[in-house]
Amino acid sequence: MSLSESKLLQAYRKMRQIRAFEDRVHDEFATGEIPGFVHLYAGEEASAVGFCMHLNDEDRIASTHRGHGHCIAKGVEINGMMSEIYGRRNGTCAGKGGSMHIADLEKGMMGANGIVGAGPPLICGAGLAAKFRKNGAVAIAFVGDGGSNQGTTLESLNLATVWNLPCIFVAENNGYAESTGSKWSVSCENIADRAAAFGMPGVVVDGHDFFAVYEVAGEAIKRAREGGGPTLIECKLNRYYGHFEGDAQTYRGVDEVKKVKESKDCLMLFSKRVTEQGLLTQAQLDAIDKEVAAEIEASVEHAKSSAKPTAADLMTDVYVSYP
Amino acid sequence: MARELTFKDAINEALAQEMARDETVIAMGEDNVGGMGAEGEIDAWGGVLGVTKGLHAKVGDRIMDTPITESAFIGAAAGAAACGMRPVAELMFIDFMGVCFDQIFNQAAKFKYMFGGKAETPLVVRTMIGAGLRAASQHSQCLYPIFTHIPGLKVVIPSTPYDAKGLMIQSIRDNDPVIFCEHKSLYGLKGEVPEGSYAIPFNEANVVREGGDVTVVAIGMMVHKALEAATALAKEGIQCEVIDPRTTSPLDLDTIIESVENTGRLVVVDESNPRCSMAADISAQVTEQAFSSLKGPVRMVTAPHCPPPFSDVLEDLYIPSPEKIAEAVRTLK
Amino acid sequence: MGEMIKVTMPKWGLSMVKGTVNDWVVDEGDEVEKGQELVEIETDKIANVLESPGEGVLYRIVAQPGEVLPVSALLGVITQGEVDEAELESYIAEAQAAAAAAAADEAPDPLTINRRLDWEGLTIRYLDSEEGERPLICLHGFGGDKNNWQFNLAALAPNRRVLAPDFPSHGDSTVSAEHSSPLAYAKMVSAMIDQLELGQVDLVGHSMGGLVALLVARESPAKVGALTLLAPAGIGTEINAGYVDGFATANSRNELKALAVQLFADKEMVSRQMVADLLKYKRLDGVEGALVQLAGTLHSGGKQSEDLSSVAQSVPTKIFWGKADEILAVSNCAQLSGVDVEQLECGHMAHMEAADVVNKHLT
Ligand SMILES: Cc1ncc(C[n+]2csc(CCOP(=O)(O)OP(=O)(O)O)c2C)c(N)n1
Ligand SMILES: [Mg+2]
Repeated sequence: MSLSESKLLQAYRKMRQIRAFEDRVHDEFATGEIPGFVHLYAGEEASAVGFCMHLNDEDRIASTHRGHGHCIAKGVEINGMMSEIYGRRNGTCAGKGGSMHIADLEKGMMGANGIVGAGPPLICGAGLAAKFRKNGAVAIAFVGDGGSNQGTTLESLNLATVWNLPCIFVAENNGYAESTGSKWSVSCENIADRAAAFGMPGVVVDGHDFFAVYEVAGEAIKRAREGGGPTLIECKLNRYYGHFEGDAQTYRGVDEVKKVKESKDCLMLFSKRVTEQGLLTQAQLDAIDKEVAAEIEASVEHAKSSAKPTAADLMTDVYVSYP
Repeated sequence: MARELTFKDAINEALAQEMARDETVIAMGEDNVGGMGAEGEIDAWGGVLGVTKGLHAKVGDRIMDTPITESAFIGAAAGAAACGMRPVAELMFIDFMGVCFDQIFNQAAKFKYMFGGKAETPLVVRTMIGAGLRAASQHSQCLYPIFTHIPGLKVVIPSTPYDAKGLMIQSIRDNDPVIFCEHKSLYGLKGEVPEGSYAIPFNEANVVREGGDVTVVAIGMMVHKALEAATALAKEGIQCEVIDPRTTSPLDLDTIIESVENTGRLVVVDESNPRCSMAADISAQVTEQAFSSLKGPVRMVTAPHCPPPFSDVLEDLYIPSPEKIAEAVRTLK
Repeated sequence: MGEMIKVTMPKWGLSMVKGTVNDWVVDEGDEVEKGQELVEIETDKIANVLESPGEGVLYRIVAQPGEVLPVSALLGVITQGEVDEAELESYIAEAQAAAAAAAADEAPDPLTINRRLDWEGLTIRYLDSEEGERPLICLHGFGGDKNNWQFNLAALAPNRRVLAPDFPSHGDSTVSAEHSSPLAYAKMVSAMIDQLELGQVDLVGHSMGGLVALLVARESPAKVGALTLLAPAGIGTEINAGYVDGFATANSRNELKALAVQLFADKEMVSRQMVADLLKYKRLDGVEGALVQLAGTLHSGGKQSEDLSSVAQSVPTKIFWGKADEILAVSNCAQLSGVDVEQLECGHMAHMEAADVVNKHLT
C-alpha cells in the first residue's frame, strides 16, 4: 500500500504530536500542576495513527484510559485537550472530564474511558447505528491487553459477528495491565488467536511499525465498510512511561524501555524508512518536529492561562432536559 | 503515645493478621501483588494505592492477582466463600461495580435466603470510594447506598485507622457478604492502632464528639468534615454531637435516636448523591421513629445530583464542606 | 546571561504530598544532562530516582539526604552558562530558611515514646523519662495500663526518673493468658529492672499493681527500695469480686461505663473517652480470656487470694487509701500495724483523684 507524500507527512506529524504531547504532560505532571490520574500513550503512536489515517469524521472510535493518542490521531484539537487535562473551562469537555474522559463526538471520538472494557460494547452500538443509517461508517474499539480479558470485550466480539457489524477491535498489547504482564494474564499465546472462537479474522501486527499497522488496518476497515463484518487485530507494542504518572515501574526489566526506544521506536523506524527510501527528507521531518514543539508549548501556555469552570457549571449537562 | 498507623497500613495489618490466624482467608484483586508475568519485581504494586503491599511475602499464594475480569473473579470469590473459604476480593474502585454487580447482589447477597438458610457466604469485597483526588466521574463516587439497599449485604465505611483495622477483622470473621468501603482520601490519615488483633462489632455507631444542641450524623470522610464544622460551631456556642454509624447495614439507629432525643435536631452528612442516599434513608428513619423529639426539619448535606466533576473548582463544590455543614446546622438554631 | 533550572521535589502519583531525599547520585559541580538520574527520592509508596529537568551544571545541592520535604520544595539548582551568583545565593538561602522553619519540630518529650522490651517472647511496652536518679516504677492495676499515671509521670519526671510498664495482657503489651498472674507480673518487673540496669528502684503500685509491688519486694528484696501502695490488693481480704469478674467479661460501652463509675468517688470523672478506651482494650483478641484467668488468681470465694501484709511491714512502705473505695475497701488496712497509712477523700483511684497528694509524697 503506497502512501502519498502528503499522507506520509500527515502520519509523521500525528505521531510526533502525540509523542510531544505526552512527553510534555509527563513533565508538567511532575511539577504537581496537573491533577488526577494521567495515563500516557508514548511509544504506541503507530497504532492509533495507523488506524485513524483511514478514518473520516463519520467513523467512530472508542478509546481507553490511555486516550490522548487516539484523540490526536482522530483529529481532536490539541489546545482543547491540553486545557481539559488542566481542568479548564475551554477544555474539550469543559473541564468536567479530564484526561480519562476526553471525547469529541463531532470528530467521531466516543471518549477515553475510565472503565476497562467499556469501549467494545459501545463500538458495537456505533457499528449498529452505521448499519441502520447506511452511512458506510466503521467503528473501532481500542482495548489494552488487560481490557481484552474483560467480559464486555469478549461478549462484544461475539455480538459483532452475530450481527455482522462494521467493527474492528484493536487490542493494543503493550505487555502490561498496570503492573501485570500480559504473558500471565492472557490465557493464549496471542490475543488475536481468540478471533477464531468468535468467527472473525484475527491478525497480529508489529505495533511499532506504522506501515504494517496501516496496511492491516486498511484491509480490515475496507472489509467492514463493504459489509464483510468485524476483525480482531492485535498490535504488539510498548509503553514508554509508567501505567500512570507516579508508577515506579519496579515490575519492569532492567533497561527494558531503553532497549525498545533504541531498537523499535515507531518514530525512529518511520523516519529511517522514509528517508532511506527517499520518500521524505530529514529536513521535512525536522521542520515538523519544530512546528509541533511550538504547537505543544503554545497549548500548555494556552491551558495555563485559561479560566477554570465556575460554580454555575457544576449542575449543567447532567441531562438534556430535566424539569 | 501508642503506636500510630495510617488508614492504609491499618487495613494491611488486619489482612495480614487474619490471614495468619485463619488459613481459609485468601485475598485477590487486580495487581494486589503486582509484577506477575513481568521481568522485574514481584509485589511491585500491592494494589493500585499500595494497600496490600508486602502481604505476598507473608502469605505467599494466598494473595492472588487476577486478570481484569471483575465479573469472573468477584463471582469466583462468592463461589469460594460458599465452599468454605473466606475470600477478600478487591473491586478496585466502587465505580467498577457496574461490571460485576450481578455476582454481588443477585448471587452472594441472596444465597442464604434463597437456599432456605443453608448457604453461608463469608465474602469481603474491599473497594475504594470517594472524591477529592480529581479522579473524575468514574473513579470518585460514593455508591454505598446502592449496596445498603440490598438485603443480605453488610456495608462498612470506616473513618479512622483504628476503625479500619477492627472493622476489617470483623468483616473477615463475619459469615455474611460484606462490602468494605475505603475512602481513598483517608489512606494517609494517621491514628492510634493497637498492635494486637481486635474486632469491632457491626451495628455500633461511634459518638465521635459529644454535644447537646444538634446531632450530626456523618459517614466516612464526612466524619472529619463534620468534626471541623463542629469545632467552628462550638466557637459560636453551638454544641454538635457527631455520630459516625461506621456500618450503614446494619445501621445503629438506636444511638442516633438516643442522641436526637437529647438534641431535638438532626443534620445528616453523606458524600453520595442525594436521591435515595444514606442521608435520605437516615432522615426518613429518624423522622418516622422519633418525630416527636424533633424541634425542626432534618437537614441533609450531600453531594449534588450530578456526577463527580474533574476540575478542582467543581470537585471542591461537589464535596460537602465543613462550611456547608455548619450552614445547615445554623439553620436549625 | 545564563539560566537557572530548579530541581524540585516531584509529584509522583496522585497522593504524594511529601518525599524523603535519599542519596544524590551526582555531585555538586557535575555536568548533568536532561533525563540523567540526580537523586533518589522516597515516598510512603515508592522509591525512585529523580531525573534532571534540564542540562547544565549541578551548582548546588540544597536538600540533604534524610530531609523530608513537600512536593515542589527546592532540592537543588542547575545552572547553564554564567549566572548572577549573588542573586542565586539569596534565592537558595530563602528556600533553605523556609525549609528549616518547616522542619523546626523539636525532639519529642521522652515520656511520649512508647518503648518496648522483650520478656519471655512477649513485647512489653513502657514509658520512661530517661533522665534523673532514684528510678521509680509505676505499676497499674487490673485492667489498667501505663496511661493511668497520666497525672503523675510528667509531674515527677523533673525530680527523678519515672517508668511505667504495661503488664502482659494490658495496654499495648502482648496478650498472653499464660503470663497473666500477679507473680508473673512481678517477674516481669524484676526482669525490667535488670534489662534496663536500673539497680535499686522504688515502686508505686495501684490496686493489683500494689500486690505486684509487694511480690517484687518479697522475691527480689535487693532490687527494691521503698514501696508506695495505692489502695493495694494483697492487704486484707475484702474485694469487690463482682467488679473484677464483670470487668473481665464486659464487652459493651454500657456495661463498662457501669463498672468504671465504681472506680471514682466523683462519677463525673468517667468520660466517654475513658469508656471508649476501655472498650478498645477489651476488644483485643485474647484479652477477655487473659483477664478471666487473672481474676481467678486474685480472688476465690469472694475473698482475696493472698495477704502480704508482712511484706509491707518489712520494707519502707507508705499506703494511700481512698475512704470511698468501692473496689478494695479501706477497711482492708484496719489490722495493719507498723505501716504508714494515709486515708484520702477519694475512691479507688488515688493517683488520679488525689494526684497532688500522691505526687508530693513520691517527689
Ligand atoms: C472495570 C475496570 N477495572 C479495573 C480498572 C483499573 N484499571 C485501569 S487501567 C487498568 C489496566 C489496563 O490495562 P490494559 O487494558 O492492558 O491497558 P493499558 O493500561 O496497558 O493501556 C486497570 C486494571 C478500571 N479502570 N476499570
Ligand atoms: Mg496493556
